[in-house]
Amino acid sequence: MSGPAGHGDGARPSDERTTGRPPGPGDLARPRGRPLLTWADRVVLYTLVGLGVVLLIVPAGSGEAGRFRIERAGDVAMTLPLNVDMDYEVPGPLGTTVVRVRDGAVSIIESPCTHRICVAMGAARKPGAVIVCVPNEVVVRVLGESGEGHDALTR
Amino acid sequence: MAGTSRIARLGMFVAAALVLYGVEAALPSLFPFLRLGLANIATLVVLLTMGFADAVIVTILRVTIASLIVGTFAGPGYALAMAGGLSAAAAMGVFSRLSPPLGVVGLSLIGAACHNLAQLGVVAGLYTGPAGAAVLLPMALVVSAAAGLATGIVAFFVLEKLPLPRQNGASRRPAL
Repeated sequence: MSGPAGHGDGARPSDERTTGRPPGPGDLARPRGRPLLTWADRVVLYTLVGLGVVLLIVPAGSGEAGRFRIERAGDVAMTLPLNVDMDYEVPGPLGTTVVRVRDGAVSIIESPCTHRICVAMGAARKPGAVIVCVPNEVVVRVLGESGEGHDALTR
Repeated sequence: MAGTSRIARLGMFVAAALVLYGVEAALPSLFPFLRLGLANIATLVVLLTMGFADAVIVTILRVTIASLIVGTFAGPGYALAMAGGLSAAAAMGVFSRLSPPLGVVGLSLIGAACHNLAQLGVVAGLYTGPAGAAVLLPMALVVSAAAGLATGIVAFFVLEKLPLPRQNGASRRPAL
């Protein structure tokens, strides 16, 4: 810029115009000489951390006791509680499938089918989770809204 | 600020914000929904040097261009990013009025918190319902405190080093 060389600061157009903003309260645009963290910054920081920690410690309201359903070939269905540890024997075309509830999770622990994929599927705990034994026509489904858990996330 | 200079600066800051966004996307993330918010540095620097309107413009352009590059334009991810970015800009704009006690880092903390809270609100509306958001809330607060602190410190030093518009006419170099 070929500004008026010898005229000094006085010849410069008003700085309020060149900065494009009104002379703001406390000029943060140039924090030189200011402390990195002011006392107000600390208040904000500790409030955020404190609030988060308190909310972490206070247990989030535990939902009502979960339930699950055993369906057999789509025709017979039983709705059972997840908070009662118990084994259930479910008869199917091939034999008896044993469904076990332990610590709020349900799993198939014995099955007469050949590949025993249902046993390998492990325990279902979250609402919407399903364990299926196709050969013996047994479906175990945890009830409730399956809002959480996505197949995929993009960002 | 003169029109051409302002446009040049806006373009520069949008580009810088996009670079920061790209750097952040390359970083591994502990939780996909909680972000470091590096691009917030650009929003904050623009807010404090060029004003609130320009900060909003940079935010909208950054989110839109980034989503066009990544391919999430007009999707839920776009809504998330826009809600977070605009809330952060709005909150920092409002709280910059409280600047004498509040510093750059404090503003950055507020921006990060509002960014994550707004995103949580959108997540609750789109996916999980209020219960899911309540589970994530404490984590969002703690993470945004850490993220806001980090980005605020960066913004502090950026503002200190950059030859941006100055107060009381004592510029070391002519305006752009």
